[in-house]
Amino acid sequence: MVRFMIRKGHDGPARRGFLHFAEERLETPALLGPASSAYSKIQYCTVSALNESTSGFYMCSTGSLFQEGAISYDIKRANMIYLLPSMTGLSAMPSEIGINYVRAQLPAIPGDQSDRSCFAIRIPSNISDSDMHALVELIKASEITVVAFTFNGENGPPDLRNLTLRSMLPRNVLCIALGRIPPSMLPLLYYVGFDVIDFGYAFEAASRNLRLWGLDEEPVGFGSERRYCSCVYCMGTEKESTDPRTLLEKHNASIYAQVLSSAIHFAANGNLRWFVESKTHASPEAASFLRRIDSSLYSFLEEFTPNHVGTKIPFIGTESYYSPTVIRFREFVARRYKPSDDKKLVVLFPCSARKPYSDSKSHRRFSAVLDRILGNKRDAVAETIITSPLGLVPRELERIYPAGYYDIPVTGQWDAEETTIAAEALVTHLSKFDESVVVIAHVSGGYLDVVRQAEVQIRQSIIYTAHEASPTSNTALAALKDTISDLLDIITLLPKRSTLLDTIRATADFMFGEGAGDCLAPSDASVRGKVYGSIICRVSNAQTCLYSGINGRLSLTLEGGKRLASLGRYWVRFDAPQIEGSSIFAVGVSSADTAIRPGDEVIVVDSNDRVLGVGRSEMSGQEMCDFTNGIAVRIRHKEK
Amino acid sequence: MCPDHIVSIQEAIARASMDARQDSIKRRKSKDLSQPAAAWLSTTRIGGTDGTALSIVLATIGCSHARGISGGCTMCSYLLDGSETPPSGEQIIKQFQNAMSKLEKKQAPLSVKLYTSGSFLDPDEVPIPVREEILLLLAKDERVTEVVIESRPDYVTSKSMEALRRALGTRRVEIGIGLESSNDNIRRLCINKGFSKQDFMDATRVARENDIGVRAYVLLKPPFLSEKTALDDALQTVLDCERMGVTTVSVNPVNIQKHTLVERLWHRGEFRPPWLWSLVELLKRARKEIDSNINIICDPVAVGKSRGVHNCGKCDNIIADSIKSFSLSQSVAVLDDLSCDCLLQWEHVIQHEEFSSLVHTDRHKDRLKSLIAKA
Repeated sequence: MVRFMIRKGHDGPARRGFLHFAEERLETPALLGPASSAYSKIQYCTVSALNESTSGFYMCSTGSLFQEGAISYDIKRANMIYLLPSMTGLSAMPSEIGINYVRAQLPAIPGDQSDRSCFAIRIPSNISDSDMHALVELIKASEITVVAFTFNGENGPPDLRNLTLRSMLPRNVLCIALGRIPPSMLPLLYYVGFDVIDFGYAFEAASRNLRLWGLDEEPVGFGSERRYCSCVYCMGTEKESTDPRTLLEKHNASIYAQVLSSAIHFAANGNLRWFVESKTHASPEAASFLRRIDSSLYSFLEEFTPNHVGTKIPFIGTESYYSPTVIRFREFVARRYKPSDDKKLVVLFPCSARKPYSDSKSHRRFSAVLDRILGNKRDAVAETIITSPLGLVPRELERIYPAGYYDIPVTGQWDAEETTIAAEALVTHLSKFDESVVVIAHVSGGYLDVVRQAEVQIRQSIIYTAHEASPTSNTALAALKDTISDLLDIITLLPKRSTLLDTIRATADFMFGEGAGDCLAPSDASVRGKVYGSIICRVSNAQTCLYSGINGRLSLTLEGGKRLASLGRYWVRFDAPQIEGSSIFAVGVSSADTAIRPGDEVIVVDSNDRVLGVGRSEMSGQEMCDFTNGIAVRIRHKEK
Repeated sequence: MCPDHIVSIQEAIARASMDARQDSIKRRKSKDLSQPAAAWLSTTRIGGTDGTALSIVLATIGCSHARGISGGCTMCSYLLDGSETPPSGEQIIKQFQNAMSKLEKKQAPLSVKLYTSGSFLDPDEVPIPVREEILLLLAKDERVTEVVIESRPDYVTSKSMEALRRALGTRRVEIGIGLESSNDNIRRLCINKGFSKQDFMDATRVARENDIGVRAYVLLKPPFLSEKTALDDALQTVLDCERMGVTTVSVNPVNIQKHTLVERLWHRGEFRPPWLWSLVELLKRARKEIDSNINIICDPVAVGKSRGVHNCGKCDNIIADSIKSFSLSQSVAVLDDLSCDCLLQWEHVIQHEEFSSLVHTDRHKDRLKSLIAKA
């Protein structure tokens, strides 16, 4: 019996896990290659080529679908996965051949073999969506644990189709990527959830005198000067071999090991997406491939993308405009952010390199102006920061991930795409304010272009205070001050200090959706603390939540969980009268809100919707339902 | 294998094969129906001595299997050599006579190979009285000591074999049948051949009872198979040919013909014609393993071209020449010392293609060329 267990995951669908055999376990992600290479964590072979002395993990091909007679296998053999029979050329054929090919593989499993978990089924790229749904049921019913796809490495429609089909599989299936996979494609395949990756191309490339690098390949041996490489094979310091072809093979294989270990490292730090984006410069095809994936597989990628990572997140190329984290932030601000009713003024500011914006020099100067002129009426202003690629960030949300953590190259020049993204966000944002609210655009350059582009769709009147000089210049700051003081003659602002409450309410809405702010921090709530430190929120003397200025997030108390439970969101149903210990496991979860992402605050309820505890999710809601192992929620507070 | 799924795959492949053919059959150009589609002379071994062979491809209405609703074979569009309007009996005889005129000044022994891009014995292609007339003309020519015809096994009956033997007297007669593969699955699904191994064996038995030899055509690398599986299957087929009483084995590596399913796959990067290394390996191993009285011949089409059996481009000509000389001499030695840098690429394909299920096309060769051009 072979079992796949996911140990740790979640920087996108990428995960680390173990493939458990009877006695040993293979750590994933793992490279799959010929037995001759030390870099092959799992080795490919044919049954006839095996001898008794071989050790390690093996993947054995069982020949062609068309061969006559039963496939040969040796079930007593340890650490072995059998790849079911192959049929090539399918991506150019109608879908019906694909599905029938997959169905024909299952009977190839020998009749006396009740354990099907060591047989890997091959899924061709020409399967239709409806056929794939049927197939998923078949896989669930037949104990298939391992599934293999074949990539041609050209980043074209068949490769994209493979990823779509992969996204439809149950979460706890081990996925193998076979074929011609260049090193630059490896981070992407890991990112979208492949656990075993074939690096056979290292050897094909060597046979064609190509030296592989992380991003490209170099023809060697044609008289041109070789690029410098410090690996032992290229330096000639390796003792085992002097044959140039063997050394080239080893160099190529080592590149795969290097790229994979980097991908694992970045995934652990929450920066895998950045690494994947950096590899899109391998070729125009690779760049368009990621863009196509982002648009067609958004919901799949997003499901595994945590709402909080806690490390700097670089948004560098245009790929990042549509990364799941960015799209989701824009959507949450558009859908979930609701300004409080007493905001009578909206001031638009440019973003700053330093996060949170409030800590930057420029924003301190803006803040000083607002304080000086507005004093205790300052909270009647809805401060809004225009930025790329997040669109805009309300001041109340400036500390939350990714707003408080992103980093972008700043040149002051905006491209048309990011201008449009921000303009659309601004239109949506301002539509939430009353028509009588006045908008002050204290922006210049590209930020100004954003407002100008949005202008025709904005109902409120807009005053530009920095269109002739930099927003931080004395001229502009004076214009801002004069404008507001003029406005004070026309509109009445109520003196009220509500920064803390506004922050809690906006954060609650952002994290838990509409209405959460009302549940956790109604207008009579008592809030104490500092935005940059922490804020404690109490309702009728019972604490509902704690806001942390470090990460801009709320943590719930049991009371908060009970109040929030009525919204019917972010719940995890646990089949027990009470929670024992400090975590609950996926196996005990009977159902869960599919909106839950790894790292979210969640409410654990029993079968009668009684709140048992609150905590932090370790996996997505769907995974909690699908998995039979692993920690689902780390409990923060529970009913005793 | 579960028959239901296999039947579905077979039907879908047959439809796709039909689809690839489109209306190419109807758009066949009208030609001079008194001329054969092709006729050429070559040197050949005839009963132990070198002689001259005349190959004639008669233009007929074309192969019944390719014409019909079955979709035809996945790699073959030879019927496009034929004519949309069927030639009259007189015209077919005229075609034959025109071709035979090439032999006017040739000395015995002569071999005449009568092809039709279909079945010479199919009465829809060559009406029986016309067939009899042609055989009569051949029988009159004393120089002709060997006659080879081609037919699907459907038309190889006691009646047709007895007639053939009667007409040609004591001449050596061989009938070419496209067995392609001795694996029923491969022949049925990958090739859509439309007859079984049993059909072939029955035809062989009937032919041999009439002292007519059987030349089995063995296909190297039908679609949907990896290079390794294709090589193994072709070798197994040759071995089975010996057991089934075949007298000559003709090895045919797949080439990309117009308006075929194979061409479609090839265009989409899902098929590569076999490597010459596979062919060399096959010929060497086959020659070593089967009875030396059975000739193994091979005259590949489009060798060295992207549509034919090919290697890297550097070694193709030398290897093609060696294969030609092997066909004449039957000596494995001429194939022994071949070598080229691309041998390693082929070895990788043999090892990796079956496993990964990925068709290892030459697309990377083009990329390499552009890389080198830049450097």
